[in-house]
Amino acid sequence: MEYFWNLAFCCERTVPCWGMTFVSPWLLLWGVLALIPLAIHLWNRRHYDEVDFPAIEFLLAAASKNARRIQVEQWLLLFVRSLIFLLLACLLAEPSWNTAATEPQAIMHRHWILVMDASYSMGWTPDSGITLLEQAKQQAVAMVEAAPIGDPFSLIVLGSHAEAIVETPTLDRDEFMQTVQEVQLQFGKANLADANTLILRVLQQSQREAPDIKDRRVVLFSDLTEQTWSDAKEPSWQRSFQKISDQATVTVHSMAADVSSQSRHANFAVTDIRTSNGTVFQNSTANVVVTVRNFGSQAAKSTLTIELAGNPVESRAVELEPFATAEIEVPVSFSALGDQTVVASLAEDQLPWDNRRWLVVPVLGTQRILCLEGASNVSKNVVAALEPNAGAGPFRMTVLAMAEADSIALNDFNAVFVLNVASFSSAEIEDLRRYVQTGGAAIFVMGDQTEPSQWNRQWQVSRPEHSLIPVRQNDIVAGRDIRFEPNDYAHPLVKPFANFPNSSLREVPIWSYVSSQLLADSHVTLALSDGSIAVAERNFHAGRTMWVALDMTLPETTASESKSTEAWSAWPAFPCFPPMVHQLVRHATARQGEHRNVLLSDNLEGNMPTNPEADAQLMLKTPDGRQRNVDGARDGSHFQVAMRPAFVTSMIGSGQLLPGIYQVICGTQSVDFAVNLDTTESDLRPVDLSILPASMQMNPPDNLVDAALPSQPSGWPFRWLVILLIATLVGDSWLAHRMSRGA
Amino acid sequence: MKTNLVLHLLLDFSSSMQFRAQNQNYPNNNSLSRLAVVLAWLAVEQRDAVSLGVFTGKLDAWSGIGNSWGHLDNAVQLMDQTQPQPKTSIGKSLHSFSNRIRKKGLVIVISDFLVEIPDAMDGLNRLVHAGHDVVAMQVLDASESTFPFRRTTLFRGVESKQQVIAEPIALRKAYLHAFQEFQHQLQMQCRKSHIEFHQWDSSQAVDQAVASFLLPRMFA
Repeated sequence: MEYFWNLAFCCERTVPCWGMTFVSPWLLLWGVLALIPLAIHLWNRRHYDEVDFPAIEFLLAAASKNARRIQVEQWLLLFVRSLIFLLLACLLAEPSWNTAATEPQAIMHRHWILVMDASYSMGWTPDSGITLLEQAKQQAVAMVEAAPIGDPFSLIVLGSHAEAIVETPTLDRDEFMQTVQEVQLQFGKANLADANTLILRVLQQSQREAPDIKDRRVVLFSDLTEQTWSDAKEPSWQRSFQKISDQATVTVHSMAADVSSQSRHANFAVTDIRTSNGTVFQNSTANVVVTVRNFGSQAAKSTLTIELAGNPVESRAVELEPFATAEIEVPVSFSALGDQTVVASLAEDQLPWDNRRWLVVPVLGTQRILCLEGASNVSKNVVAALEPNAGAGPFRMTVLAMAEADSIALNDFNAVFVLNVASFSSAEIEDLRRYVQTGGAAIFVMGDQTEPSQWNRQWQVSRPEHSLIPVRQNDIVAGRDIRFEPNDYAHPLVKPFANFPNSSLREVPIWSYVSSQLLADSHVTLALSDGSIAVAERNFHAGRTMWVALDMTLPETTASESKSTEAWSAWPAFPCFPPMVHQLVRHATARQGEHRNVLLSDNLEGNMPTNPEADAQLMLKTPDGRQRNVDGARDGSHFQVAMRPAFVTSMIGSGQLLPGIYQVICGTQSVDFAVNLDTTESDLRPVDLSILPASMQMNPPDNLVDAALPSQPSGWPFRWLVILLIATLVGDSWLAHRMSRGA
Repeated sequence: MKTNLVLHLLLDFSSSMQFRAQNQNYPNNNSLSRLAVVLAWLAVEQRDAVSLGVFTGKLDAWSGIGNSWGHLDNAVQLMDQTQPQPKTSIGKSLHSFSNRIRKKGLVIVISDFLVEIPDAMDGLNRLVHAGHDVVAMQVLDASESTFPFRRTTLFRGVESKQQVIAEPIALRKAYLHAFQEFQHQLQMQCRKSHIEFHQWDSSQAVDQAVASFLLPRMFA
């Protein structure tokens, strides 16, 4: 509020000061010191020495002859000495001048709102060796230095979130320039909508609290990439920009002018890295798939290096046509347990930030699978498929009746089969929902106990966004003779079967199944030959559910049951059954590694290996090695750390969120996360300027400051006052000397 | 050595001669008296006749002519008994003295001569015309000739009620110019009238004044 008071004070005093304005007008109060010489003069008139002097006639004669001269000189000296104090007070108050001030109504300050695009495309380094962001900062600082004293400034930094670094306008230009210099790259796509919202907020605050300011200027420093600025075509963005341009003059300082003159043909980027196998087990080999794109305008070469836990695994040359993408598959052998870090990096180019990408691969020794049975022995074939020999192989099976589900922690299992259950209690529904929500994998298998109407009601399929189940179940269809239809084996679930025609997947006779309708945001994984759904899947928060329309028991098993006298299929007896159950588990649990590989500003969410102590504090270790406590949400072993800018600023001490490996620590346990860039900004092609609003003024760099500034240099009143002060001091000395000589 | 000289000492006993400079320990008239007594003593010592007169506005007292030590005692007592008065005119006093003595001799007039120059010259010329050898010995305080004041000062007249508050720094040059012009005119007039002129700073020792008076005569 002090700023606005100052500002108002300045504006009110412009006319009496003949157009001169003061940054710190209250310092003019020092001008009362100008009364000191007068006070000393009057004091001397009342306090004097007394002497008897016989030659007084000569003194009287001299006094009467020179009285006028002496009086004039004395008053002149008095005036000069008072003027010294007045000039000092003026200088302390930091004067500025506006040439328009000769017209009393014209003098007004400008509110400068600097918007600095700090998205990582501004980290591109031209041949000059200085990044676009550094150039933008230099130009912004030069603009601030050249602006008239008394003009307030605000600063908004544009990254994946726009942030008002200086929201309340400041008059302290030194501190402001320091803040500009400290702006760092934000590793995300510039969010134009956010920027508009923030600019409007700053403008509204400025209008509310400093109505005297009539001239507001928004100056944007950006490289104007097409990927970011294509949002300017959105009607909603244009509407909000119109509100801004109604209140302020918007000037864009295009950094693209520096770039367009130079070739941008060498920008390779790693746009994706993943494993093709889903879950990775110890001492197995998984294919790491790296996607590389050439964002340059010419064909170019680079070298891709893959590292596992800091050790090089493979290096390959990559040659790509302009804007071409290549997927490079590298087999990597994982011998260690736990979170393993794979890094894909390209040779350095002029935009270095998109040349590296990290992948966290949780390497498992075994997977714990829980089978919840709605009828006795219905999981027998599943157990036989996953753990044919007890204690051997990658899976450890636990079988419980559905009624016993509340006695066990679901989070201890990698996947849960729910087989042939008629209906669920609300507690069971809530437990399953929370389990999947926090990254669990649930596979629902139908059977003769299943009651479709109950399922639909209990799982709220009428509200698809709340439903864990991917389908609305219709009815149990019996008496058919149909087969699986894997189509082109395109789906990852059935893709391995494509190379094994003898797997008999297409030959399994199916007589009964639960017919269904797919819900929104769900997918058919495997179909039946009559077009019905055999397997469907749905991603629910961090986890995944799969729904199987068939029963997984053999005819002789169901034949003994009183309710069901007919078998649904002969599937468990076919060779394709065990690998299909493996695939179901692999596909359902595939997302458990996905949330370990996120983009910047995504939340870090997952489960600790075991349930940590209740009072254990969540800590976050950043790629630069710093470690701090964080206020994340915790529910048992599940945790969530929100990577919002405010949190990052408070935790890391700067607004820069680096890509790399983040480690969430809770007690003695930790979980690694690979946090990577959204490579949208790697495409450096400039936007077509014609799509930008006409009210957005484009300025070449050299003209921006001159165009924005008043014609009169702002520093000249200060300089002239200093010169006048020096002249006054010289005049004072001369007058005092002259009077001492009595001339 | 007897020279038949008759020495007439005329002392200005006006109030202005009592002016004390701020940093002086002795009043002017004491210095003046000492100077007169020394000169008289030298005359009596060589058996010359001496007379001593004191004046303010007229000739207030005269010792008569004599060459004995008793006469010198009488002259000293005369000075002690005389009270300072405001000065009105040197000319009248010297006229009065000239009318009173018949015997020609050497007349030494000891005064500050801070009066109108015509008045002072009128009296001195009267003595010259009466056939005396006349010596004008001007006694001044150092502050009158150098005007050393710097702080704002109230200057009070000694013989008049006039006073003025002044910035000495601003007035110094003008004052010194007026004072030196007066001194110059006084000396020029004396030279024209063949009157020997001496100036003595009262802050100096008496022997210096006597030496400055006698030395030129020893080699004349």
